[in-house]
Amino acid sequence: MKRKRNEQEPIPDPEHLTEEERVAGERAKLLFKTLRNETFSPDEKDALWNQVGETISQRKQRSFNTFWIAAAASVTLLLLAGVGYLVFYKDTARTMQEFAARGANGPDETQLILGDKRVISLRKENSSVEYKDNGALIQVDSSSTIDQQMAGDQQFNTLVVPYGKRSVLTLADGTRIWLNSGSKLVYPSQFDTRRREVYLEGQAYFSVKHSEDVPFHVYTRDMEVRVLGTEFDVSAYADDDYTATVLTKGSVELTGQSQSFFGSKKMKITPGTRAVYDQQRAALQTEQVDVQEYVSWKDGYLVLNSAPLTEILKKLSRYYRVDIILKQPKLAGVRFGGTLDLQENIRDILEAVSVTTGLNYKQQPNERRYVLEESTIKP
Amino acid sequence: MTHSDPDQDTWLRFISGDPDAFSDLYDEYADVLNAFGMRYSADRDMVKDCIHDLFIDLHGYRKNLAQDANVKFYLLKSLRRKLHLARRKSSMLRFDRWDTEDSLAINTFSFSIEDEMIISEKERETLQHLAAEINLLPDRQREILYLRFHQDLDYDEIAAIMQISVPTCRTFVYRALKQLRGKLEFGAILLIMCC
Repeated sequence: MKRKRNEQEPIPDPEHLTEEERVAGERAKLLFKTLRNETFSPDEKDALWNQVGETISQRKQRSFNTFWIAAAASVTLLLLAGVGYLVFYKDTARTMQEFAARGANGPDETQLILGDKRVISLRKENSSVEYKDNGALIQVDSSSTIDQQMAGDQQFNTLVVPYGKRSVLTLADGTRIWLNSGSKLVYPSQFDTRRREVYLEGQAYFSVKHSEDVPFHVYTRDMEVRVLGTEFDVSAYADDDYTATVLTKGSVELTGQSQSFFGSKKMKITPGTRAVYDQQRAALQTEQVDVQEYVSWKDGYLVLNSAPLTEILKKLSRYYRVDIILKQPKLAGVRFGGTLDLQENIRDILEAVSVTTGLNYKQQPNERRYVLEESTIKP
Repeated sequence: MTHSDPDQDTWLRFISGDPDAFSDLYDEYADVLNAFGMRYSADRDMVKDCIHDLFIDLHGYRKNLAQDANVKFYLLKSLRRKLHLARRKSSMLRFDRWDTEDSLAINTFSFSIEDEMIISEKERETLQHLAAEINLLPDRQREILYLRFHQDLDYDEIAAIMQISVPTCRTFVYRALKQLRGKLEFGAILLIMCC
């Protein structure tokens, strides 16, 4: 508002004012000029100024604090959400991975390790474990049953299948898992309501019971396989430099494990596809394959279509828990085809291999060790 | 008190965020505000608190303040509002005075004609009478006279400060003067009778 100076007009309505009134006004004006004002002492004035400054800096501090507290709070929330995500999802995998590392290595017999650390030995070469009654009852080798206490917190069971043994696991949700020799599977004693998660080391064939709302996750060191319900094989042996998934039917979604950083890019594969994660190249690649070659082991035979000899021998040594040494390394890459019946014993198998490859095999005395070499005597 | 450019300059510098301008503004107006505040209250600390709060507000809202404001008018108006609120707050806590009007009344004036003015004895007496009469005026009329004659505010500004219309403001001044004139006459008669 602009201020008007009206020194000459101190009285509101000059025309209505009498001379006396005007004079009274002038006098009043004069009087008001004599008013003595309360004054600050310089100290008071400075003190008040300092107080103002203090309050302002406090407010600034406060609003600064408020800003940072708010900022920190949101960041913390995000972090917590992130950590929570990791804890809830990734760390189930990680926890299971730790369990797998902890689990007995190389026992002679198949072992079922329960959440309460009870260890059940399964003597059969091809054992079976079946969870019934929502996981509270475990039937082992269709003969004995075990009660499992369901603890409130998440507990894990581990099935360890040594070389030379196999096991078929039926989970409470009806999912069947064939575990090949030299494999470990870690799984919760009871599945979460939102997702079913297992961790695999070695090879397993999964026949996952379909559940639209509860996806099934197979974690391995390098790969995560997510399915709703389908059949597929996962091979993730620690001594192989690759992890592979072969899909029999349905569809699966593959994700690289976060540790390996080959991108959290998801990949969907269709039946007949083999997806291989190569550790050295840190890359996920797919190829069309004869599925039988990769999954026939669960039915007790090995289908080979032009497989490198080393691959064949590796599979055999796992399956039969024997060492097979190839004396002439140059033969490693030579490919062979055929079908091997895994019900037969290793000697019969090696006999068959020898015949096909034109090699001889020798058994080392008192050892589960065989040597495959070129015949010195040509047939 | 004239409205010099330096004042407005300080104000503009203050609004534009010059930190020195804020302290200049305080230096310039703290005394004026204190004097003004003490017209309404005897409580030094309350007045200081209000001035403190006023400067905090100024600092906080400086970006939103009008550039062409009459600084003194704006400050007095703001302080009066703060004093009013403080008075209301304190009277709310005093239950013995719950029925008293919560409006802010200006204190009586103590004019100091004696020292400052070189005037005739008769005039001095007249002024003393007038001073007494002014203090007998209703609070709001006295306040208007104070704002008009001491603070040199115009009617628009007085009306805004007192939250009354400009015509009401004019009427109040007119009435006050009329009354003063009447009393003066009466005072003059008294004087004559005494003499």
